[in-house]
Amino acid sequence: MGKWVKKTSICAQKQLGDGRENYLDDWISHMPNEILACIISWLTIKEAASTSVLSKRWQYLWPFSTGSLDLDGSKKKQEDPWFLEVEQSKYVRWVNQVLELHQGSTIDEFIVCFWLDSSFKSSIDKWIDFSIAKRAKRLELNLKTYEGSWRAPEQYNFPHECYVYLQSPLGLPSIKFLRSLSLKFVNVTGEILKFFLSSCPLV
Amino acid sequence: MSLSPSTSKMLSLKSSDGKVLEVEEHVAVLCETIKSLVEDGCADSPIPLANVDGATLGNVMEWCKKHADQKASADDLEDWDAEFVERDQGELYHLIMAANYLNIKGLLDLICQKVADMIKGKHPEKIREIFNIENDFTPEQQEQIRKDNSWAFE
Repeated sequence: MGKWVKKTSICAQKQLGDGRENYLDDWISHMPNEILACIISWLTIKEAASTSVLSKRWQYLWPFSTGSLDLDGSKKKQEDPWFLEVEQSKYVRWVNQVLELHQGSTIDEFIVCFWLDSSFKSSIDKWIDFSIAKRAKRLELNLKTYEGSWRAPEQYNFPHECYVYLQSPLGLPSIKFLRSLSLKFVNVTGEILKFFLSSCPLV
Repeated sequence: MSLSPSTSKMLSLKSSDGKVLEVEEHVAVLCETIKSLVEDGCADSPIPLANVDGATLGNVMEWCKKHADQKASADDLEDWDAEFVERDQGELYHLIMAANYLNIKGLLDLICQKVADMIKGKHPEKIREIFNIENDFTPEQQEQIRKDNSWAFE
């Protein structure tokens, strides 16, 4: 980190001169990567990703956000059973894409919100693993059910494999970061809930 | 090591432009960089801070003093911080670099949040204008980025 700072401050001083009058020269782009990552971590992930278009310096910065990964896809979509399957695959592709690109070592919160059932189990399982690996402080899983669906959706079950992992010496430390857990339309056993309540510093 | 205000001694800090600032130790140790020096017993002579100018050092210590004050309530600090970050971009730049160099996480987070607020909700063109960012993409490259991250521009 020290090396980075030294290098960029020399660079920025060149731009800024020794006074403060010329600060309007693109000082922000001369900040070290860690500081730019800190700045974009205060933005929503959508706002962070939209900075990719600013300049080449910014293009690949947004995946380093350690802030909120709010992937609520339900706000814009209308409940329309005819388009549900198309929208579901689109949503799952989007979440998978964001998670694949994400580089930040941790995240503050991870929010998944869409009409999804157990047929998307393999993806949702991976999302929970991602949240644990990134030591999210807040995890919200809202898999809305669909009133007008032509087939009865089968509600997603909280993965047993994940529960087993969390109990292991490897998994237990990562759950200590969890402060808030919200599971909506997710089947979860009393045993798992009890485990969360006793193992996390939930507030 | 006890660093309570009642027993706090004074530390001398020397800025890059040669100004010397006398600061109470329990205030200065909010800077992790200075704290390590104190703990290692290397803080006797004026501590040279080659990367921080006098004016910025004064601002940083003003923040540290407020945040070292154990009587300040969380609400009070929040209001005070909100006023503290009302500065021009030049000062924000120097504060970020100083907070990073002196390793003061609270101050670094505060200024980063302020800069993020200047970006929030704004069109890319407007953000470039605010910070004087040069768009070094060709129109085709820009189009491709918008396509790749289309969800961010909806």
